[in-house]
Amino acid sequence: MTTTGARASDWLDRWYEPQWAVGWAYARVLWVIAATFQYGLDVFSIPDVWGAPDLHFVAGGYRLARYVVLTPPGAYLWWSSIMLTIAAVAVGGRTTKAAWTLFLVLTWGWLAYEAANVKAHDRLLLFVTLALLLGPTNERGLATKRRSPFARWVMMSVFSAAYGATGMWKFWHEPTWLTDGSVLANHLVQPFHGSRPLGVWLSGQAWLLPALTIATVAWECAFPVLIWFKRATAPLLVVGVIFHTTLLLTMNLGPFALVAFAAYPVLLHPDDMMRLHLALFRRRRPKRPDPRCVTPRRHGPAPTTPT
Amino acid sequence: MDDIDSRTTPRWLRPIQLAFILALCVAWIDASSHALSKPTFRQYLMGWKMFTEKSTRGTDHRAEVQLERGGPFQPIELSAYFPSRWGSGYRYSRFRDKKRFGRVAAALCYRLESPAYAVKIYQVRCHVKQGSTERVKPSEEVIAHHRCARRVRGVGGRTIPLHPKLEAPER
Repeated sequence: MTTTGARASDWLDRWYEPQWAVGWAYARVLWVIAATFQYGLDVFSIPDVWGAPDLHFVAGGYRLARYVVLTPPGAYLWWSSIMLTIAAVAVGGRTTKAAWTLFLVLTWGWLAYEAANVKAHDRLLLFVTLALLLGPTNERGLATKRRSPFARWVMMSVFSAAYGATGMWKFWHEPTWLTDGSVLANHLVQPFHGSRPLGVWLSGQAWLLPALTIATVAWECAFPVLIWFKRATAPLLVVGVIFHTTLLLTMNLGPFALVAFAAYPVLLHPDDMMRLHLALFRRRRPKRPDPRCVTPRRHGPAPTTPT
Repeated sequence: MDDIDSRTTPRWLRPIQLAFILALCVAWIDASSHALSKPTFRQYLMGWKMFTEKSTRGTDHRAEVQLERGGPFQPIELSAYFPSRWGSGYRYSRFRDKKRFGRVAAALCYRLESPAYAVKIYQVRCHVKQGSTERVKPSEEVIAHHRCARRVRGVGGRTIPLHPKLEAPER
């Protein structure tokens, strides 16, 4: 029994070996860009939506407008508070996690008041922000730090759910994803989320569509499995970048691609992310830490602190 | 640069973290398994249905205004009065039910430059054509026909304001 417990403990120690944390620093910067795009432009909609006296809605769980009425100055103040939290995240440091928490409260109140259109990128930003909250994002000098892999696992499970679920549904529910690709062709020319010039052109390329749709479904379905293999993450994420960039150019999906890209430095295996960081800044690699300092000993207190 | 600060989760916290990830995965699977069949708030938040189903038709809206009683209805640009776009279309384009469009129509009366007698909003459905922005076989129905002097109850028991020039004589 003791041996089994010790073996499990060893196993967990191996799982929990610290990983390079530099990806979290990149993710924070990319998150600031995505959040600024997502909420910055809302200022132009305040007179029409949040500050409007005539058009309030409630929908499902989003019922804030039933109890609160915003005036235009109140709406501008709310929006400014959201932008301030984004600025605080951009500055980084100890207040980062408090700023993120406040950001989530303010933005979900903002969406609950608007109550008409909580979009996929709103939800993705919520889950990406939650994963970032669990990471070492309030620390500076992450290029020389190694931290617990837990928060990265959370981020991996978020994206495994997002890509995996949509891929599986496409696979089981709509056969044209695997045959003529007409499902994508139709979406590319929809009045609202489609009809961009490149998308309209693409929707007419019957020879290309099946390859794109089959590749999309294969990639989405494979993601939840392959992301857990170190060697597979880099090629998997390169395909992801191509996938999201194509959608960004062909469809009106708001900042969905930017929100997804914010998580990619964390999803990339930390060793590869470190290599990329060193290549970008042409620095020599920090000395690998003594394994005795990395892996907690089997007996006695763990020489570590929580992330 | 050479001093690496290396830390991980303490042992006592690990089972809690692993249980959290397990619970998250169960919630994802549960939400995703019903995302198409019976979407609820939970599935709406955690389910990921993105361009899954094939859609051969698109929906748009247009509006007409009747300035005087018995006068002709004249087309107006609905998006000029409700300009906010949400990446995937105008805000009002998300709605499908007549009750909500009744409120949009009342708000349209309020936002017009001069008071009108009535407004109509049409929902236009058409087939999409691959490789083209051409809309095929459009069919439309009146989704809201609103007399601008009539008050409409909004969210939380509040009424949508009438046009300022209509409101004045009633005071």
